[in-house]
Amino acid sequence: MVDEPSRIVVKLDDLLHAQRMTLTELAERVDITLANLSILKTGKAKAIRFSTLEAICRELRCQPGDLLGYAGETS
Amino acid sequence: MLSKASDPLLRWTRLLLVIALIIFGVSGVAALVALLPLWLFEARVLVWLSAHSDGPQVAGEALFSIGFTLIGIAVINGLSAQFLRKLIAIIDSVGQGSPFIPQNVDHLRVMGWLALATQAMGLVGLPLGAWLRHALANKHIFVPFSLAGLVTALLLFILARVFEHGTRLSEDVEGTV
Repeated sequence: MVDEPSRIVVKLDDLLHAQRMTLTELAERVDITLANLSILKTGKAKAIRFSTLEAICRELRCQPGDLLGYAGETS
Repeated sequence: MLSKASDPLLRWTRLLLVIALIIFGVSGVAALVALLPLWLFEARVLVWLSAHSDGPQVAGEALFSIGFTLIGIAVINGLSAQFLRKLIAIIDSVGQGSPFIPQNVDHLRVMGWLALATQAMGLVGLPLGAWLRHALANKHIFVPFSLAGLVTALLLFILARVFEHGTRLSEDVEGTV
């Protein structure tokens, strides 16, 4: 079974840049491994826990919608 | 969580399975080797069988049946050895940290088919054993009837489905951050 590429876009890079924060620093603050955060940043994650989303939004002072976007067609 | 190295049940089971694998292998080869004297000393064996059965015709059929039985033993041992190799591979995957992998789904499916094949061979052996017992008037020749292979095969096919589902869940968990 070949997985189709996800149409969910993770805008973690933009948010980190806006907050002038490194991925390593965020990983320490949200208590997630750098490897897992890197998976999220590169769009390779299959799912995100609410606890992870909450911690990232808290540290980056953003809304879930600021972190995630949908790249497909909307009807 | 116990790893293979620290889980005594897995460690000892693996050891027993390796020993059983060797026994199946050796006895399977021995059954094939035993065919050689039947072929090389066919005349002598026929004389002996004639003396211990109801005549030359029965002796000829008995010789064929014994040869067929030896081939059957070799095939069943080969199937059993293959079965054990798959089981050992599954045990090893537990030690490597992740038993819910596509390879184990395949292993379980193959084990199911091997169990079915062994059951089928056993059913073929039933009439053969009964005939040999009658022809040679030997009460010690006994082929037991059992549907354990069929039940084992069903169990393994169900387990393969469970592992297939577990593998999907495991892949989902691995991609979750």
